[in-house]
Amino acid sequence: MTSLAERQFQFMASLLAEDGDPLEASSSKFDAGLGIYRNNYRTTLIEALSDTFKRTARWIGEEVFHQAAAHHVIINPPCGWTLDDVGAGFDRTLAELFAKDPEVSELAWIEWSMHRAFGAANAEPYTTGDFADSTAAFSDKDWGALCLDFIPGISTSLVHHDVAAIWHACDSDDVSCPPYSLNEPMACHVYRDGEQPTFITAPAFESPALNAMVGGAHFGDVLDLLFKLRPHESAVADAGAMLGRWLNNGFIVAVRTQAP
Amino acid sequence: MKPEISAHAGFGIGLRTDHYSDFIEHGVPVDFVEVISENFMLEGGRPLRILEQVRTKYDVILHGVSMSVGSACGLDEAYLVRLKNLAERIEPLWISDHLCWTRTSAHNSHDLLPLPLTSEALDMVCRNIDHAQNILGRAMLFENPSSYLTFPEDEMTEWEFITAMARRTGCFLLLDINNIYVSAHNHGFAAKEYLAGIPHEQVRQIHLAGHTPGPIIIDTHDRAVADGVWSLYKEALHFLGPVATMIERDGNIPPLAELLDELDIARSLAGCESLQAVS
Repeated sequence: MTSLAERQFQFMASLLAEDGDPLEASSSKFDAGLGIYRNNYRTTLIEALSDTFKRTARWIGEEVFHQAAAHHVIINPPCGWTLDDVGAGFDRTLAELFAKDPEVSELAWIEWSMHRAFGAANAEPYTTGDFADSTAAFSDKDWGALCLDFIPGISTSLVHHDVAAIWHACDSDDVSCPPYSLNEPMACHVYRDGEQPTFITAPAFESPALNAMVGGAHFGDVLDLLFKLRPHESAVADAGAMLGRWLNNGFIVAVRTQAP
Repeated sequence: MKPEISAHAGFGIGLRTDHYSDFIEHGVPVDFVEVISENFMLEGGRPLRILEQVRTKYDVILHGVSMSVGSACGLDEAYLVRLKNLAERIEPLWISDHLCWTRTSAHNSHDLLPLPLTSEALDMVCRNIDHAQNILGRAMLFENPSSYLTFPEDEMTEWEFITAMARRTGCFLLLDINNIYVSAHNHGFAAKEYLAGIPHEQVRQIHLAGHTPGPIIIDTHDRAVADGVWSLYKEALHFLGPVATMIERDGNIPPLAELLDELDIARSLAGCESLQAVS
């Protein structure tokens, strides 16, 4: 290792360290300067998290958020060139820190997913007309082999709280309400509508279905999943309604068939 | 041989989110805008659409903060590809970054960290600049940093380092007058000696910004340009002649008119007339 590389590793280690130990054989003037860089490093990352997770910060309070953000950057120092990635895994950090308040990490997951969707590639969604044209001549076999391409940046997860209500409570700064637990989990889909990231909730089965199809699964695989959960006719109807919702919300950008 | 970067004697400001609508919906009296490259190195979405709209009305400079030409681990190839793609899309006047390092092979500080001023660091910086300029297919500008410490192993002054860097790589210089002022105060050198010592023919742009005073001056870019920096700008013009000049504000972003007033001070010191807004 060259001395420059060694110097940079030492300097970086000093920035990242939780405590502010001076570098070996450094002067007080050097340490004063280093202290400014340490402060800049921490402040920049915490501000980046505050920008990305504005509602999460409102929900748990600015001071608590600041402590959680500081904890996150200490245990997850950034590696990539873009500050946009600093929030990666922050929802999981919050899940550990707020184990008794699981709505916090759900809210953070939504904000993080919206942040990712914000800069995702542009794509023109299929209209219901496009979809009807593409599938007009489909046989039962074609439906089973149907694969979908989705709008870039889409993501989904199960949520156990009324995240829409929490979101609006944060917007109105009315964060004194209970955590809105749901009796049953729901799917939460995050995507970009035009240039605006947004989210919707949907029946829980849509989350594994969407995840599977984003990962390349066939529509037939999704039907098989639903057949395990409910009667045959009901499953087919639910799958059709799900496709309709995905189309209407602009999730689908291409349709193709691919032999299983 | 990298293409020459032509001199540009205009006046501009840094494009910030607060002022997007001013630039798109109105005619702002500037000759160019400078944007932070990384904010637009995205796959798609609103920022890129805004930048493309702005580009139809104004010349644009891409100013980066994450190239890390001082890194002993070399450059991030994926970063360079993204920057090249953005440059092909936007066709900027030029691309600039900082003489600093931000990353090791393991971590990124997202801050502009100081380099030891040694021949080893100079070799590394020149190798990295050569590589970046080759990938991008164009010469770049590099900005003198502000700094809060110096290294015991320093072998030369910053202006000697910068002069050697420019001569060896053919890169051009973005001279941040505020950074010279800040570092001169923090490290006790004469700012005028710095100005006299750099290769004037390589300077293509000047940054003017505000700082936070104190025993160690902090380069915060969150307030108006200080009187001492204006005086130093005037000194710099004596050496450089007409050169593209801009006001750089990154925090406490004021109404656009306030920044344009500051830009008019720069114009006045450079002996140029103010432009009129085109609506």
